Amino acid sequence: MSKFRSRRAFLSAIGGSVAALPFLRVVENSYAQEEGGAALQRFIGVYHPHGIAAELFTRRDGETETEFDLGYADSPLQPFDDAQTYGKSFKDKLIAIEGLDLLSDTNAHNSAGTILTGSRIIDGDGGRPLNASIDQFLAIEQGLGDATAVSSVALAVGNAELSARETLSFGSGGIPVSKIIDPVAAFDFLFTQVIVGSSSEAKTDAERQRRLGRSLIDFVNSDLKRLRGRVGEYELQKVDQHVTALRELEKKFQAAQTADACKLPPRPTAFPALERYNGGEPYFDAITDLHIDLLAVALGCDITRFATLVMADLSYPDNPLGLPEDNHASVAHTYASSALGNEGRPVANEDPATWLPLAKFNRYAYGKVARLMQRLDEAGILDSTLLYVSSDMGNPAIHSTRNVPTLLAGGLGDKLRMGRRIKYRTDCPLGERCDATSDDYQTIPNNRLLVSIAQAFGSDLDEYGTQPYPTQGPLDL
Amino acid sequence: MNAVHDPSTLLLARIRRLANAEYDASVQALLSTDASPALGFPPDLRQDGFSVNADQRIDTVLIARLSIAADALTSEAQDAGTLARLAPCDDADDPAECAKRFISRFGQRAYRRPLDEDEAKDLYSLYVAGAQDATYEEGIAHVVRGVLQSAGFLYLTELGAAAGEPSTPSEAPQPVELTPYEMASALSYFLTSAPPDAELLEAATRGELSDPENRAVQARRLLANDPRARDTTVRLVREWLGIDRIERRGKDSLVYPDFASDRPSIIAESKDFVRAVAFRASGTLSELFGATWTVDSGPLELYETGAKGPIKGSTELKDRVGILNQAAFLATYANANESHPVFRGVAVARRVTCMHLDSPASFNIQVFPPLPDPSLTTRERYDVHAKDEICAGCHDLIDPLGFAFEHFDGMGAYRQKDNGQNVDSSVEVAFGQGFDGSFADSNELARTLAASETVKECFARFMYRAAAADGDSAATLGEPEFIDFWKTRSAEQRDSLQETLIAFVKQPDFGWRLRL
Repeated sequence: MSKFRSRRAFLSAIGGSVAALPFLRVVENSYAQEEGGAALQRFIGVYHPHGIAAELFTRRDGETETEFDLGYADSPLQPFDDAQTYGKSFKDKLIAIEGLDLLSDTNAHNSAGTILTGSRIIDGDGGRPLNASIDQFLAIEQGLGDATAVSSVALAVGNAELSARETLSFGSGGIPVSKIIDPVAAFDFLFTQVIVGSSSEAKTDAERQRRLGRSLIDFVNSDLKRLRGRVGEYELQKVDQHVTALRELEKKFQAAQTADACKLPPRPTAFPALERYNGGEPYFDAITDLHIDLLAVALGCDITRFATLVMADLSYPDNPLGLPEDNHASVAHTYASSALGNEGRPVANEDPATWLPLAKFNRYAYGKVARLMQRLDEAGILDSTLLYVSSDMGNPAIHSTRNVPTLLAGGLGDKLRMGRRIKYRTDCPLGERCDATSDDYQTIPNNRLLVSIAQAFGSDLDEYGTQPYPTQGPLDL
Repeated sequence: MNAVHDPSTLLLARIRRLANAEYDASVQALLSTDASPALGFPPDLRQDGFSVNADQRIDTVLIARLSIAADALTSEAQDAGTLARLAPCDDADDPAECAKRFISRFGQRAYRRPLDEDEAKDLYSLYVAGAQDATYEEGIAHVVRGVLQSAGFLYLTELGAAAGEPSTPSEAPQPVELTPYEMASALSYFLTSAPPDAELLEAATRGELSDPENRAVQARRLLANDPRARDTTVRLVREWLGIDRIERRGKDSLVYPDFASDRPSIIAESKDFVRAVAFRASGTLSELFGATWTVDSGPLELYETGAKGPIKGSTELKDRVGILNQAAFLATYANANESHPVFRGVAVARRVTCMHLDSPASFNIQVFPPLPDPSLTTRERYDVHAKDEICAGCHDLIDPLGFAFEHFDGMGAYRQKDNGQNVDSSVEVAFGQGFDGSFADSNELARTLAASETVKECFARFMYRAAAADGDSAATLGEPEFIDFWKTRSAEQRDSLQETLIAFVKQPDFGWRLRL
C-alpha cells in the first residue's frame, strides 16, 4: 500500500465537499510536492502529566522487542490495541521505550520543558531551557514549516502560562512559544484568515481585503526594518521573531479562495471556562478531544505540519475516571512502586494497589493519543506523522526523571521501525543518587531520541539540546 | 564619554515589548476606551517572577491576537466617534492634509515621541490604501490599525539618540543617554505601567528629565495622583513576593474544603493590604512585614481577629504578623494538600532577604519529595534534608525559615496540630545577615524581618531588577551601584515603598544605557 493516499482519496475520506477555505493554494502546493515523491513529514509532541506506573507499563517477561501484547489486565497501553474503540489496532504504529531519562532539573517540575529541548533547566521555578524545542527547530530554524499556512501550533489544556513546567515548544534561545488553550482560538488560529475591517463591505470585498492586508504587512515590515537597523546585535532575535510572525500573519491575510478543499469542522462553541483553578476543569476532557480533532484536520489539510499538545491532569471532583479529585497528591504521590519504578533500588513499601489508579490515568492519556492516531489515520497521514509522547517524570512519587514513559507513534515512512517495545536499563547503579557526571552513570538521555528525530527529518546534527556533557548521538530506532 | 556613567555598570541599550497590562493601558490612553484586549492575549512571559521584562516576544499567536485587537479597537473608535474627534476634517479642508495632521498628532501619542519623516510617510501610505475607493474615515481607520500593530507602538526603546546608524564592530561600547521621550516612557511605564501623560511629555520636551530632581518631582506627582501608579506598586510588590500566583493555585478540596470559597478574599487581601500599607498607612516595609492588622476585604474568617484596625476598613489580628503570615503567601508556597516548608523557606531566603541559593540542579542531584506518612508531622518529613550531606549545605539555612510557618497549614489557616501531633514552629536562624536568633514562630520571625535593613535592601534590589527587567537576577548590571545610591537615602526613605521606587528614577544612571 502506498504510504500516502492521493489527495482525492484523502478528501473523500474526510467528507470531501466544497468548502470555503483560506489556505487552498498552500494545500495544493504541498500535495503536489507529496505526489512528486518527496515524502511529507509531520511531527506532534504530546505531554501528559504525572509519569507512569512502571510495573504496568513495562514489557512483560517472555516478550521480545517485536513480540508483545498490549491488552493485558490494567495495561496503560491497551488503547493502542483496541480496534473496537479506536477503529483499528495501532500496535504496529508504536515504539514504546523504557529507560529513557530527562536530564532536566532537580525536582523534575520543569521536565516538560526538557522533553522537546533536551535542555537542563537550572533556574528552578521560572527556569527555562537554553535552546529551541525540536518542533520549532524543524519548523522554524530548518524552515520545514514554511510551506504551510501555519508553520507550527502549540495547544494546551487548562494552562496557558509559559513556564517550563507545562510547556513543550520553545523558540530560539529557549523562549516559550505561546500556547492556545481555547479550542475556539485554536480553530481561528488554524483555519480562519484575518479580515481587515469590520464592515460587511470589507468582508465581502476580496480585492480591497487583499490590498488592505498587503498594506499593513508592508507597513509593519518597513517599521521593523527601521527598528532592526537601530538595535544591537543581541536584540536582533526579538526583531527577527517578530518578522517571522509577520510572515505567518501575511499568510492569513491572503484572501480567501473558494474551491474544493478540506472540509472544516464547525467552529467550536466557547466553553464557559478554560483555565485550571478558575473553573475550567470540568471541560478539560472535552477540550482535549476538540484540540485533537482540530489538530488532525489541520495536519490532514496540510495547514500545518508541526504541533504540540500539553494535556492536563484531571484533578477535580467527579472527573470522568472516578479518580480522587486531587490527582497530584492522591494518585501521583501515593504511587508506591516496586524496585522497577524506583530506579532499581529496593523499596520497603511496595503497594500494587497504588499502581492501578496511576495506570488508569496513564490509560486515559494514552486513549487520547490513540484518538489522535485514529483521526490522523482517517486523514491518511498517520504513516507520515511522528508523535513523540512523554511525561515529565518516571516515578511521580519520587519525582524521578529516569525511566520516563516514552512513546513514538505513527511513523515516518521507513525511517523508523515501528511496532516495537524497546527496553533500556532502568536502574541507577550508584545507589542513593544517580550522578550524571559520573563515568558509571548509565543514563540514556532523551537528547539521543531528539537527535534520532532530527535526523529522520533530514538534519545531519548528532547532538541536540544543552547538557554539561556529550549525550552520545542518536538512538538506533 | 561621561565619566559619571561607568560603561561596565550600565544596562544595555535595548527594546522591550509592552507587557499585556501595559498594552491595555496604552490603548486605553490612546483611544479613550475601557477595552482590555490583552486579557485575551497569551499570558506574559515571566522573568524572575516579573511580568514586565525585556524577554517578551511577538510570536505567531500574539501577532494574530494583536491584529484582531487592532481591528476591534479601530472599529470601536469609529463607532464611538473617537476617530471623528481625533481626526477632524471639514468639507473645506483637503483630506490629505487632515490625514497628515492626524498622523503627526496621533503618531506622536502612540509612539510616545515625535515621528520621523519616514514613519509619517509610511503611515500616510496606510491612509491612502484605506481611503482608496472608500472614504477619508476609512483611511484614518487604516492608519489606526497600522499604528496599533507597529513596532513604534508595541516596543519601548531604550536606544538613545545616537542610535541612528547601526554600530560597527570596531566601535567601542558607548554610554548613550536616552532621548527625553525615552526617559519619559521609562519613568512612566515603570511607575504607572502606562504611557507618559501630557505633563510628563511636556517636561520631556523641555529637556527637564535629565535632571534627577525633575524626575523625582514627576515620580511623586504620579504616585500621588495617578491610580495606575497605585496599581503598579501593588503589582510590583505582589510579583516580588510571588503572591500574585495565588490566582493560579488550587487546593485539594478534601483537605481544604473552604479554600475555594475563601480564595477570592485571599486574592483581594494580597492586593488591598499592599495598597493600604503603601498609600494609606505608613507606606513602609516595616509595616508591610510587621503589621498586626489586615484589610477587611481579606479572609478574616481564617484569622483570629481583634478590634478595628488603624486605618479605615481594617481589623487587628491576634494570630499573625505582616504579609508573610497572610493566606496568599502561605497558600502560594504550599502544596495542594499540605504546607511546604521548603517553598516557604526558599521564598523568604531568596525573595525577602536576597540570600543567594544555588539551584539543586547545579549539583546534578535529584530531589525525592518526602513520601506521605501519617505518623509524622510535615516538619519531621521534610527534616530529611538535614540528614543528607549535600542537601544540608543549603537546607540547614532554608528549612528553619520554612519550619517557622508550620503553625499555618497549606491554605494559611492556623493549626495547633499537624497529623495529630503538636506543631513545632520554633527555629534558630543563623545567616549572619542581621536577623539571626531564636524564633518561636513565623510571627516572631516576621517582626524581626520587618526591622531588618537586609529586607529593605532586598526590596530595593528587586525593584531595581523589576525596572531593569532583564531577567538576570544573578547579575543585573548596575544593581550594586543602585544599592550604593539607595544607601545614601535617609533611613525613612529606605523604609518607604514609594521612596524606593523614586530612588530608582532618581539614580544617576536612570537615563543612561550602554550601546554595544
